Amino acid sequence: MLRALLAKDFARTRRNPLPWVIFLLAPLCVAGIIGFAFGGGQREQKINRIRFALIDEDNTIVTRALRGGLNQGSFGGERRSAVPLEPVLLERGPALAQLGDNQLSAVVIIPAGFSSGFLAGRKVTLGLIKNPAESIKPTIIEEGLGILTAGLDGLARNFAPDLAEWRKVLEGDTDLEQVGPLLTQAGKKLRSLESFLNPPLVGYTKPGDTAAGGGAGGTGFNLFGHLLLGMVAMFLLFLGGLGMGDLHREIQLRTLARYQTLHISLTPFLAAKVVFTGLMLVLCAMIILGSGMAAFGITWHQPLALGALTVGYALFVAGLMAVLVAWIPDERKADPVRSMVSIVLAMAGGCAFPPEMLPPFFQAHVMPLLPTHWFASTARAVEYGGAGPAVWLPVALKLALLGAALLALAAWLFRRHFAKGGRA
Amino acid sequence: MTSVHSTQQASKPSIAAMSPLLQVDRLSKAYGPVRAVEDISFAVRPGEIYGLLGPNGAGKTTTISMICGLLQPDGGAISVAGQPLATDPQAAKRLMGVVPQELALYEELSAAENLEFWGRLAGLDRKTARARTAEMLAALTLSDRAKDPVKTFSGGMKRRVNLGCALLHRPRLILLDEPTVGIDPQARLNILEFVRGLRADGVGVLYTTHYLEEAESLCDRIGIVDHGRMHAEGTLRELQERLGDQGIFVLEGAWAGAQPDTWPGLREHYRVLQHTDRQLVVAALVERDPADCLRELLALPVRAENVTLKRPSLNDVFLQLTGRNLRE
Repeated sequence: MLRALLAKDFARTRRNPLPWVIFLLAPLCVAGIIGFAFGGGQREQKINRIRFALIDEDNTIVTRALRGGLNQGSFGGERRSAVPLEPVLLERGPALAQLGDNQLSAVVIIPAGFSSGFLAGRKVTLGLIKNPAESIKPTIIEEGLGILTAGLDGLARNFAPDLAEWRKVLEGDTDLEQVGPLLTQAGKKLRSLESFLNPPLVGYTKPGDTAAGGGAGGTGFNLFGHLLLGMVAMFLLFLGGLGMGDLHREIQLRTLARYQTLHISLTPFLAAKVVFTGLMLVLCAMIILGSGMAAFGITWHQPLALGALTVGYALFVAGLMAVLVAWIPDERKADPVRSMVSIVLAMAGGCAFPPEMLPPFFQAHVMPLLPTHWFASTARAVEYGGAGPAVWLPVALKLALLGAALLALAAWLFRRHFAKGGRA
Repeated sequence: MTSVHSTQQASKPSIAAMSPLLQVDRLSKAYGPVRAVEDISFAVRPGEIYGLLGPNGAGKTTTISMICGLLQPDGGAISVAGQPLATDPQAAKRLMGVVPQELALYEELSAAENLEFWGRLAGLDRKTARARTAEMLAALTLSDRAKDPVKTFSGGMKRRVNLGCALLHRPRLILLDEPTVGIDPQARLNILEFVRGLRADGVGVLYTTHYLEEAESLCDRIGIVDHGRMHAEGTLRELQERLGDQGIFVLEGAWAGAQPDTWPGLREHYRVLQHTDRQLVVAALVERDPADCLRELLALPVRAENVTLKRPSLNDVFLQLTGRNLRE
């Protein structure tokens, strides 16, 4: 009988696939957009060149040296990741015009009097105007400027006597006989400092830096893949609503009423609908995750674990949606409730954005109760934390058992509804 | 259309002598303060078409819903071939085929797929369901459209598929809830012919309708229901006899504003069945010479332009029992 019921649902879906296609297109489109936004692929996302303007209103030998340093094109070699800077020297007017045209990420201004103030040990400031239309690149410039000013500050404090002499030399007629000893003195000081600075004794490495680039446990983090797993959890809720929402159509078509006149109980009918929805959800999850692989080259490191989690989660979603239909048999009333429940479960479960962004209380006390979080966090742990069967298997079983319990609850609610004379 | 039930006509005993297939005793159902069905009792025997006749909202569908297990009765008992529905619903339901008033079909599926699906659920194996589907499609004269989706069918064709879905497992009792609502006369005739075929095959049929002509032409016995109560039951002849053998008088004239109930001569000898601006319908309380009646009726305070004596219809019976027209 289960086979007949399933065959009927699959035949109906085959004849009228449009609702499923539309509901499946939504996550694919969203995934595609997010994929393009984050660059998609397995490689670590790179920031392309950061173009910014330097306005040197002081124009001294000191500021020319400073400009030269910035023109080297990156912040540090061994100590920090290479940031591809592209400074351009401009006057204030053209610089602000280009900033307004989004040709620059920021404008750095070296004000007049900067050199003399710096060499005299007075407090001096550099100016920064960020492009309000951009978010990440101006912030990188600001961070870089912070590092630069910290360096200049250290220089000003440790080389104060030398800087005063430099100032005298630079502000008068530059006499090379005076410059020579100053350079020798500075060279000696820097040599004595070298043993403290180079080579750096403390550094860091990233998983992507290793030659293998992540093993079976899934170590190569991919932001898009991380988000895609959450999106699967979220969109399967909506697709599950479509699958189990077919019970509403069975009520409208009066086919559920006709079924009720037969000698068989309601459970096989509901079980078939749950199995049908579960299978459709697994198929949809495969399409969404597969599209991530095909379009953006994401590698799923543990397909077995992901598959088991998806099956468990699909059963949970089908059971949950069955309860919602049994609780609210009127489709017009049920639709908004179903959407609301899906959105809240997805958002609160940390499916739509990194869960760490939610308040600590929420993370500690609410999220652990949500099956959406069980699925999303475990799938992410499997893919990007190398979690093994000891982690994912209990979660997959827990989700499947919860789905079965919800199905039993739905059957009980339906029976109670019909016993009260509700329309089948 | 021809029936597909195996013929059981040889040496058929009289219907009245057979034990009932469906026995309904003092069935009641209320929705809050509204008593939808109140103390309804009747029986359907094998090879009999029993009609439940009443206007919309009379309680016919509620009654049929309780019999097929969709609704829980508040009181009373139902048994199918001796199997009490309350204690053994599965056994009782196995013997039934239910044709709901509203179409209960999957429109994306073909006629054959619908029939086979409901046959499988009724307990047939795939091979048997497939064979009987072909037979049923032929009986319903739908073989040429077997593979077409039901959504492409006309209303009458859908009704036929709806009927066939309840019959594939060859039930002994068939419940038909207004199966001809909203279809054209030809399709209606086809369905009525099919139901007659079922009767000929010994199937017991409970048939609800608000069409007088259907009840008159199709049903062996008729129960008249209104406001949840069974007002009378019997054969058409038995029901007509409730108005007397001599028939009823239809007086045409200007009856607007008249109050015939207050006329002593009329009230003592006749029952007013209907009073409209142009028509007064009366039946004699006791058997009398029609010529005497005619003389009395022509002497009423308002003069009749035309008087007709006719045999009472089922509508007249309904009118007499409930005080209102079936079509009101």
